[in-house]
Amino acid sequence: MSRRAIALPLAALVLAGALLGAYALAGGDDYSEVQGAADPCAARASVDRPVAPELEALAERVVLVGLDETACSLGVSRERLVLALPVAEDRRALAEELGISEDELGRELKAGLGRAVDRLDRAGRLPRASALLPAIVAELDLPGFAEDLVDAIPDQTVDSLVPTGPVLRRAVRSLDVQALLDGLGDSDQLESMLRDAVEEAAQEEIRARLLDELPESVRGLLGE
Amino acid sequence: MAAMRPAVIALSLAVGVVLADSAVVTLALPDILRQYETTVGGVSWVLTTFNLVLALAAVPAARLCVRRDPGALGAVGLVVFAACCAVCAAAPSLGVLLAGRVGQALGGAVVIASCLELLVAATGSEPRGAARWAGAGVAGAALGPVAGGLLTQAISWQSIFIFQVPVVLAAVPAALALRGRAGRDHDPSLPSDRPHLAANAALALISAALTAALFLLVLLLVEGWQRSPAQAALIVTVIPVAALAAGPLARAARAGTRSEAVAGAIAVAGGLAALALLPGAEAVWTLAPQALVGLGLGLTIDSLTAVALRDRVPRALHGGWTIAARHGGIVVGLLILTPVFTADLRDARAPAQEAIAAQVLDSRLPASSKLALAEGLGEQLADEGGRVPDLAPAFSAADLPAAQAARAAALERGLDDQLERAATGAFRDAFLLAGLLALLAVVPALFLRGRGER
Repeated sequence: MSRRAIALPLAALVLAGALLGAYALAGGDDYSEVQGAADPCAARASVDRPVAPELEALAERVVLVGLDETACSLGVSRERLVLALPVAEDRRALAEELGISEDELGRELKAGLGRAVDRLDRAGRLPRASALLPAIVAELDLPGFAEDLVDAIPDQTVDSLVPTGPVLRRAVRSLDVQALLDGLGDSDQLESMLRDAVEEAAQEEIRARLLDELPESVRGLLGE
Repeated sequence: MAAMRPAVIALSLAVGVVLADSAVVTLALPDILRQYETTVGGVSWVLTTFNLVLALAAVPAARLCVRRDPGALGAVGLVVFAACCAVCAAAPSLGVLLAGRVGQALGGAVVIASCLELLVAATGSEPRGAARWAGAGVAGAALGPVAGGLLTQAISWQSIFIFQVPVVLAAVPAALALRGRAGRDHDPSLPSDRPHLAANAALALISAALTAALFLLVLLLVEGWQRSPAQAALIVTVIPVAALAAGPLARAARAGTRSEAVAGAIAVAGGLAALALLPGAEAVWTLAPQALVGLGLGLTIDSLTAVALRDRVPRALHGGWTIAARHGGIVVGLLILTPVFTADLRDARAPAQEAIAAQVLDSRLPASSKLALAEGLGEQLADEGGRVPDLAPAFSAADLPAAQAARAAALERGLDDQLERAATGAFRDAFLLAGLLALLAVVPALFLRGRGER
């Protein structure tokens, strides 16, 4: 091959090499990698932020930490779990993949939510009931006098009657996980289900605490 | 014979249109895919069918043109091609569209083979006629996707086929006028020269690789990066423009056909490998690789076709061999690359969905907004049908409060970025494989001296 004949392929080789080198340096080697799932057993910045004093934010945080706890104990990513939970067929496939039954998967989820409440409580991340109360009252749209009445209750009384941690533990224990999973596709149904569970748990907690304050003889009279 | 300018123009246009059909629907594939509710693999048959039948019919059609009058045969081929274009435009189902594509390829094979002889007769010179024929083919193949994309965006994918009808029929009078005057310089009873193996093998490999440049790049732009067909058409214009620039470059270099073919194959391989290494989902990143691919296209196809035809008789038969090699290569390219990138697209699905889930869960939107978005996103992901989903409808449907608009927009950008990364990654192996096919073309190209330059 003459020098002239070699020059053209050589120029093509140099151009191709320069382009590939430039693209590799510009990040072409790893651009196509998507964000990988983080280890659910490790601390996560987004769940360790302070929780806003609102029921919605609190419920979200419990669910997020609960998902991490469940995913960690099952040995899957939080994202894999989240994508599988709303669809019955995907739940079955995940349970099968993990070698457990769907009921066991539900129990794991419930246990994970329980551990989430414990973890947040230990870390002091659960807002006090007195801090949550104004937002709850605003949502209930109570008449003015009722709002004034609620405002008059000292924060200390509210916090001792409805301590956030025990109320949430009670709410998680009473959750019908199967119904919860079936309602995941409908945000309104899910919200009302969670609200009902928390309200019921709060009432039971108040009742239990008030009864505890009463003398045993009076409790006997009340049939407790 | 004195040059017949209008006939040369009409016949060149017909050749360009027929060979443009090899890839003219590339940018329309996403629309065709949606209209017939098929899969990426299914819709790729709209390209494969045409190229496969054209590859198989090119040599028999060329033999027919050697024995019969190319003028009359060409006219019949043009009418059959035009009629089948109309069938494609009106196809009520993918099956009818594919049947129309088979008819187009059969008519097209006769058109291509006869037009080589007709152009030689019309120009009055074998080298000029053959150069016209090869040039029209390269221009058609390179500009086809651009024209198809613009028509799809401006009117509809069906308009691609409708517009071809008058262009092709305009060449019928020219073909009829040349009856009895074309292809008379070869005695059919004499033995034919053997086809040029090295040139045709290199043509096949380069064509297989170029399929990737057009078919995969267009799918990446339209389906992966959600660009409109018109935008994609403008973006891929770089390839034909660079291919045109290759002519003056080759003339200035005066390096010889072997050198041009080797350099072209290296350039195509380098461009395709760079498309596998894109550092972002912006169209600008595709420009330099496309320019390299276009330069390679211009350097290889012309020189390889010229070598394959040079001094070989009968001319139409060797023209048929080059068409069979090119379109056979395209079919092989489609058959090898389509399963690779569809499988990679499928494999990219779960990580992309997990990345989307992670970003939604970790976003700073209120839980109720996340739930509303999750419903819509779930539907979009479920409806993807093997394609890259469009997440915008989920954000519109969630109808989030104005106060959350900035955070929602940031989340949407983040999710789109993840999808674009996943889509870009899914095309990577196919581009690399196509680059390898182009690099393989260097081997037969090295054997071009000798018979090729006799």
